Amino acid sequence: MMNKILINLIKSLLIIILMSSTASAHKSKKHAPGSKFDPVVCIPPEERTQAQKTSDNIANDLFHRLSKLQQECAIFRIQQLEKGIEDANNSVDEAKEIIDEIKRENDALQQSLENAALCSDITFNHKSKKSTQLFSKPSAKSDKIADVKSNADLLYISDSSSQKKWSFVLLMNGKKCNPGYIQKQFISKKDEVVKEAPKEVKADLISITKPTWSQKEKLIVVPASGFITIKGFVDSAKIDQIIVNEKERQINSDDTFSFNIRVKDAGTEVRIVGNKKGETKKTITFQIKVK
Amino acid sequence: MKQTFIQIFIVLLTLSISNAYSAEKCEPDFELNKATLTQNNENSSSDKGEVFVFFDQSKTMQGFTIDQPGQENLYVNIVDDIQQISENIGSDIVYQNFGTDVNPMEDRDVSKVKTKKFYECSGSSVSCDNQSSKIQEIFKIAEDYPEATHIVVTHLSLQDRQLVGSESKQIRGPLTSLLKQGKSIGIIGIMNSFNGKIDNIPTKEGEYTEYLDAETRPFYILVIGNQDNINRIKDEIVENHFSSSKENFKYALITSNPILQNLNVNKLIEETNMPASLARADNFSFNYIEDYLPVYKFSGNKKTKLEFKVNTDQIEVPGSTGVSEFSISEKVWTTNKVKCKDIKNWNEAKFGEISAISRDDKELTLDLFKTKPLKKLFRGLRYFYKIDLYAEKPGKSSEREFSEWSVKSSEIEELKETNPVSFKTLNLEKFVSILNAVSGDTFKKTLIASFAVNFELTK
Repeated sequence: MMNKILINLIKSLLIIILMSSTASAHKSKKHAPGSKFDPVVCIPPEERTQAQKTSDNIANDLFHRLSKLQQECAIFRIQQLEKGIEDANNSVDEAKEIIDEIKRENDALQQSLENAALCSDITFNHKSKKSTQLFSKPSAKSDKIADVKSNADLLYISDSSSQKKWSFVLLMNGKKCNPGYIQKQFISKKDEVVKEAPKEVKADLISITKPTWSQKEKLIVVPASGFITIKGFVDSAKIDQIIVNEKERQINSDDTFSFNIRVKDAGTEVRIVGNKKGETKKTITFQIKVK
Repeated sequence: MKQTFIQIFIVLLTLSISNAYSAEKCEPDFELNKATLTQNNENSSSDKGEVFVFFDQSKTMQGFTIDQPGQENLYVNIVDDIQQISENIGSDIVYQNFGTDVNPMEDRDVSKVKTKKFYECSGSSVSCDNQSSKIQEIFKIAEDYPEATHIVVTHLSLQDRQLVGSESKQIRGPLTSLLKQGKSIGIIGIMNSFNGKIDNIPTKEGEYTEYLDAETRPFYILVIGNQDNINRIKDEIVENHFSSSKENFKYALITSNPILQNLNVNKLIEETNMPASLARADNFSFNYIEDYLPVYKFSGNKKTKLEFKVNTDQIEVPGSTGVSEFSISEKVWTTNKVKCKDIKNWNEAKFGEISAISRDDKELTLDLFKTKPLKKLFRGLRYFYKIDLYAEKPGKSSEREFSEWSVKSSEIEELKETNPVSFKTLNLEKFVSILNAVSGDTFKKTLIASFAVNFELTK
């Protein structure tokens, strides 16, 4: 009787244990990350032994199930796919970070460029003859600064002192300029720009621009005796004829005029008469003296 | 009464002596078309005039001051020569520099012309790059001061725009005025070492480029003034630097009259101008009528060779354009009396064109009776054939002289691509041709020589 009771007690305990307990396997360093089991090892079919292959066939043909090895390989592939998606997600995140970084740098550069002088107000006196490149040094082996398109506007600054076939220029890039070196053979000069008389000083009917006045409309001082070119312009709305010391001089299409005058040691008097339709509108009489 | 008769007799005797040649009627009556041109040396006044010297200060001239290894640099010495010659030929020397403008030079700057520093440009790169040399400004000054001698030292590379339209007029106008006043322009070209930048090279796209690899390049000295001074400067440069070889030297003289002299005025026509065989002809004589017209008198037949030759050196101003076209004015008179004492009248014959002119580099030949041969003339008559030889049109020899150193704007880019060691002058030939054209316009038909043949055509 006692034995029966003991046997039943043991049975009950076993039932309780079995009923109440949840499988709580122990943790191991060998476990796959984030799991409680060892990483699955997939033995590819071609590497399986004859016995393993026979086991596979029995499971497939007899029980219409996957063998243990086949299950492990299937799990391994699922794990690989999961890992790939995760890596891809990580790459997207990294790319986003790089783009953000570039944007930040770009903003910083933009800011620095906005602080730089604009080149849009400069007359670019040269052009590129062909497509070429702008370099940081007078050498084709140096860093490339920019591509130069054919006919791109260039501002010639100076020849290279060490490489006589190279010149330092500014390349017009929108409103900004890229400084750099370009081979001379690719530079050509634009046609000379006719400089019009500045509008703001056209208030005078006749103006002398070269040489400068020592006393306006009274005296010009030159460094030596000899011939000198006097340049000036007229207000063409009010003057259509210029007579210098009784000789008519040509007024150019841009309203400028020039003439050569001999300055003697004792000085020379110049009389400029400006007429409109034969009527005198302005007369300037001045002295040119030798310093 | 007796005294009156004596006076009348003396007057008649004097008159008869002075007309002796016409009394015998050995020549027909004709009017001698005497030339006044003696030696073409213009207003060769011994007075020293003003000399204006202009140095081209454009940056490209710097290349002439820097030695190029292996090449002879004459620029520095010739600039020295010019300063010295100017002092010799002028009473007052005024120095200027020019480029886009003309500016007077201080004395201390004159010595710097031989140095690189003189050509350094202190302006902006835009104003210093591809500077123009406005040679037309010098012509304008020369027009205003025609009595002075103007000496210009320049590279003489001229853009197309300087040689057309209004800018060309600024050269042609003053030049016409100067030539009409008897002035001339000498162009002295010297091939010199060069170590610098040749800029202002036009491209086909209408832009400008430059060339840095030239080792030689010509520079030029233009002299505007009297031929005497021009020749003096030229001779001095030749003597100092080109006495052994003129390979690197060229010279042209642009003048309204490339005729050196009239051969009659200085009695330069001689027996030897005709073939030597003529002097052995029967009754040959050679005499001047009125100390002006040479007459070859002889008895000839249809085979008599009558070629009148004259050296072009005696006719054309050395270095000038020369003469490209000559013409003759010819007249023939005949008489049936072969002996002078029997001749009463000469009859002017209407033969039309009688002789032909030909020339080579050295000689001008008048082939007498080539078009109307002697064999077609009546024999047994005496003929008096008078010829006036004229220069009709000036030549183009100076263009040919400089063509070797000249390059057209349409060809200069290709020239640059060939990386030439010796670079040529842009539009030089065109510039010289403009000067020649102006001298052609001011040229007047000029009598060079007159002579006659007086012969009996024997059977």
